[in-house]
Amino acid sequence: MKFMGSAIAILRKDILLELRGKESLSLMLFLSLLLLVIFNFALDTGKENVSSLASGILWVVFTFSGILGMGRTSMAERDEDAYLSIVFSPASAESFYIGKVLSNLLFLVIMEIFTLLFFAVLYDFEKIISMLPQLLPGLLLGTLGFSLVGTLFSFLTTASRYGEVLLPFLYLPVVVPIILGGVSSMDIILNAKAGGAGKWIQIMAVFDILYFAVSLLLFRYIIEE
Amino acid sequence: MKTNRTISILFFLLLVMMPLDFYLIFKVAPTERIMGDVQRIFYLHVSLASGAFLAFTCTFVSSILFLWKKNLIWDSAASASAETGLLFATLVLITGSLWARPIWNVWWTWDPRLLTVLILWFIYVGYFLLRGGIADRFKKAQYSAVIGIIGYIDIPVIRYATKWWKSIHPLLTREGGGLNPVMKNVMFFSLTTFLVLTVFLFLFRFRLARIEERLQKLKKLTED
Amino acid sequence: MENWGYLVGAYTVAWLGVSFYLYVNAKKQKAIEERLSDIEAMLKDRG
Repeated sequence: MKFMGSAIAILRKDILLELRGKESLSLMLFLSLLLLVIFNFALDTGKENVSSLASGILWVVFTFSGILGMGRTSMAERDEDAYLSIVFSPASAESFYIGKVLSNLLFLVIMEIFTLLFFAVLYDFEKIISMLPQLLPGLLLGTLGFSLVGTLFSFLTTASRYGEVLLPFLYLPVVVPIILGGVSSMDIILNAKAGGAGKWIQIMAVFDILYFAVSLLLFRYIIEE
Repeated sequence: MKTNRTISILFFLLLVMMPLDFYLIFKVAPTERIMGDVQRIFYLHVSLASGAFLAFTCTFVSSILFLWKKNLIWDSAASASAETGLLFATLVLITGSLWARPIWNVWWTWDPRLLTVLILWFIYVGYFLLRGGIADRFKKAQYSAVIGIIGYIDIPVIRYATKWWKSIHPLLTREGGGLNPVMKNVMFFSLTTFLVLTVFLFLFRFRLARIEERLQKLKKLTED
Repeated sequence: MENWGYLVGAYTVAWLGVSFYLYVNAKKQKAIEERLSDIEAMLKDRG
């Protein structure tokens, strides 16, 4: 229980920092809004197209806003070596990792909720809100996958002199299965396509379990000095 | 030096095997009825892909050994094999493209296998981008080992996901499955030759990595 | 035989790729070996 206790403490610390205006969440939301506007210019999002384009647009927005947010939070840990006080505290690397995964997950979910709302308003597509209960498993599993890989990789990139700029290059190829799963399952549900989303939910679940296990094993090598 | 001798032996082995392989591919293997001579790219393409896979497996194993033993020699092995794998993966993509143009009438198709190789290619490019940005020798080894492991375990998941994704979309006509016995034997020889080439290139690069390491150490010594 | 170009192209690219890679690495190897022997000689002079 002590293990989860330290993880929760880290989660609380991140929420407090966010409330005190570390601005990573507001930046994410701002980017989401901006991307949605850009997509409106880039694609023909008329009434008849929006349903088939929705899952693609949304997951691209989730992906990029997510990269921005996760890159920032780990950069904040590296600045002034704030994370070292956690490394030297009795909390283990594993609970530190879980805490960071949870806080990233929380911020990602908040960003996604707002993005869905923006989308429903800007693209005149209320259906996406009413279908949220069906979409939820896919969204949550996908977001968890983002957070699991993103937390690990954003700490990797902080050591590089390229910093956060490097994050998308490492992160995007690895989360391809999640993006594929997220886009496809959402598309199947929104457009009532044949095939069923179940298979995709399975792939994302396998991905999450795999990366949870491996990241737990590897995270200690990233933060130990 | 033991490595030097192995490299020489492999080099002479390749000197015999490579021309023989080309002879078998172009002269002995029968021309495929539907695809014609272009089908001979197949022997090269598949062999390169197997070589890349062998190299990335070596990266994976060496990365684990590095994190376990903390000996920089394993990092040299991991990065050397990742480089060999990356070279081969690049060639796989190019030869695949040159095959797809006459057969499928496109330069690129979102075939699950091609897609898997492309994503792998991105992952290992990322591996070297990460290495390039870290000055500290030990940290560089440690962090890239994490990518070497994470990237490799992603392969089956990517493979499975892309396969399922494709099965929803219309499938492009696949190449006919049956290879005749002569073709099979040529394929087998070609595979063996390219696996030897993979090991040769790896050892060659590995030796370079080791000697670079020694130079860095000596440099430090003279500066002190 | 109309697609001969693609076949030759594929084998040429692969051959050139591997040869170039070997050439670059062999050159590096040689340069480093020379520098190593220089430094070792220097260390010997110093004693």
